[in-house]
This record gives sequence, structure tokens and C-alpha cells, in this order.
Amino acid sequence: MYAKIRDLHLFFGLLGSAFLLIYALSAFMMGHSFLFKWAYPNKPKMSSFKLEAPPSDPKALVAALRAQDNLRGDLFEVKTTSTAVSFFVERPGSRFDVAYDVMSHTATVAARQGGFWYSIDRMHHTGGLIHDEDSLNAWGVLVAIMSVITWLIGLTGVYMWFKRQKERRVGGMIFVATFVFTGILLVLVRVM
Amino acid sequence: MKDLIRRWHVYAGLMTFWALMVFGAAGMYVTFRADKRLKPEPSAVKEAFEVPAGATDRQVADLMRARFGFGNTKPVPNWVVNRKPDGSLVIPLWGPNGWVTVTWLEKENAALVARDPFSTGEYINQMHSALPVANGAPLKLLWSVYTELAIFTLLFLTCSGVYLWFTSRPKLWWAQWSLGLGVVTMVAFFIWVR
Repeated sequence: MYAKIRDLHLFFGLLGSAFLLIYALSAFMMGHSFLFKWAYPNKPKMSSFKLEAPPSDPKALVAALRAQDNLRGDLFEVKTTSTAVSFFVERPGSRFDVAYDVMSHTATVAARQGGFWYSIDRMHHTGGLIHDEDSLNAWGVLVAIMSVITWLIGLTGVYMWFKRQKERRVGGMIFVATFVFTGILLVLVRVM
Repeated sequence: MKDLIRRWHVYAGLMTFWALMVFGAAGMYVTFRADKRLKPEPSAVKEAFEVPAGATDRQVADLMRARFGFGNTKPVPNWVVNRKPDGSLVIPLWGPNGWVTVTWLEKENAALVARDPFSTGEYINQMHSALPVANGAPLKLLWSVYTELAIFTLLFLTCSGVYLWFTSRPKLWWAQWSLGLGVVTMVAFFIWVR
């Protein structure tokens, strides 16, 4: 039994290691953002295009604008007036702010695109199955799978520790102390 | 050396175990959470709110936090304490238990308060991302110190785990495949979602 659990711990640990490493690095970045100011894209790249036959329906118009410039990602904050339509589209690593002038049929796009660090930061913030984009929903599925794998790595690890006599005493103190510490804090922060 | 790293891998894992359970729970919650974009704005309620004469906007924001914030609300950052174009002072208050938006109705000694309390799932999600904040609520600060430590131990656990495998059973084909699959999956998704 121990050997089987050990192999499972190894299997899940190696399978999840890249994901956990990326998540730990992005968490470090979020917690110490002052060290990573250079990684966040502040200056947008501006471009514009004209929509030849703009639809009158706002939803169709937004879809046409996105299709014209291949603005993939989740759609946010659609604002419509008689003279303008604005929204932004976001996916990990990129954000596109679109301002469309109804009179001239011209859209201005402010594109912000970051590199590796910014992208893993945004990937860490992305989850769920409610996205407009298939790739983001697939990513949401992976996050769910990796969440279960994280639990399994922890549970198999605790089983293995318990079966080993050597680290049982010190390990037991650490395990119980952190359980009491985290359990009390989670309850108190919730109720107070 | 390997023995030492293995022992620390075990101790670090035991210390981080509860954080990993919370991280996994947050991941599962976020997967099945409803689309936030479709969530209606909470309705605002007028409540009495008296402010000492001569109070600065900064002081008013702090009073709002004390009066209307949910438990363990984060300190109001300075960049948020500024007037809207119409002259109104609107302060968002955020904490792991919920979000409150307060609009000061100066002439009426009142405030419009829109409350959005978080479910238990959202609370766990917020706690998984709790960061140490200066002047933060003490209990939440203690928790966020633990999660900060968990980030470093998770980095150590990942690297030490791969090291321990590599120095003990590197020829296991299924171990090689699982590591390879994990890495290829992450690279593929990184390219696909960007």
C-alpha cells in the first residue's frame, strides 16, 4: 500500500509540478508587485480601423468590431451611447480597449500586451467555464483538474509521512500546529 | 544531502498542507463560480453617517471603513480617496468577507451603502489570495503571512520533489511521461490562451 501511494504521489507531483511552479511564481509576483513594475504593460499600442457596413444592433456591432481586428478574449464593460460604443476585451497577457465612433464608423484600439510574467499573472487570475473563448474554458478545466491533483499530492504526502517512523514526531507537531493555526484563523476572519 | 532535502520536503509539505487544501478549494470554487459579469449591482441603502466637522476626505474614508466595512476590511488606499467629477466621495471597501461601496451624502449626514457579502466559497477564494498589507486587520495579516510562507515552500516543494525523483528513480518511464506531459500541457496552454 505504501509503495502504491508513494507512486501516486510521484505521479501527481510530477504531473502537476509545472503548473504549481507557474502558480507559485505568479503568486510571488502578485505579492511583490513592486519588484515587477517593469512587467506590466502600461503604454498601449494604438491602432484604428474603419467598419464598412456596421450593424445597428449593439451586440452585433461589438461582435463585428471584435471580428475585424481578431480581438479574442472575454468581453467587458460594453457602454453604448448615440455617438459611441466602448468596451474592452481581455485574455491572459493582453487587453484591448476599443472606442468606436458611430458617426465616422471608426474604431480606435488601445492594445496592451505583456510578456511571460504578465501572462502568467493573468493566467493565474483566469478560471471558470464562463468565458467567451474556448481556450479560456479549456484552461478552466485544467485549473479544476490541477486543483484536484493538488489535493491528491497533499493527501498522499501526509499518508506517506505518517507511515514513516522517522519524521513522525517533528512532522506531527508541524502538522497539528498549522492545522490549529489555520483552522482558527479561517473561522475567526470569517465570523469577526 | 538527498536525505536532508527529503526531510525538508516532508516538513515543508506538512507545513503547507493546509494552504494546499485551501488553494485547491479556491481553484474548484472558481471553476464553478457564476459569471461575475452577469451579477447585478447590489442595491444601495441610505444610512445615517455623521462626520466630525472639518474632517478630511482621508478621515471620512477611515470612518466609512470602521462603520460600514465587513470584518477584516482592507485599509483604504490613498489613491482611492479622491472626488468624482461631480464632487462626490465614493469609497470602495474590500475585505475577504465582502465588498461595500459607500457614497457620502455630506449635506444629509448620511451615506448610500451598497453591500455585497461574499459566500463561503468566495471567502475561501479571497483568503487564498490574501497578501500581507501594512496596517491590515491583525487576524488577516497573520493568515496572509502563512500564505506568503506557503508560496516559498511551494516553490521549494516543487523543485525538491523533482530533485528527489531524479536522484532516486529517474528511469521510471511513467514518471518521465508524467513530468513531460505536465510541462508540455503548460507550454501548450501558455501559447494557446495568450
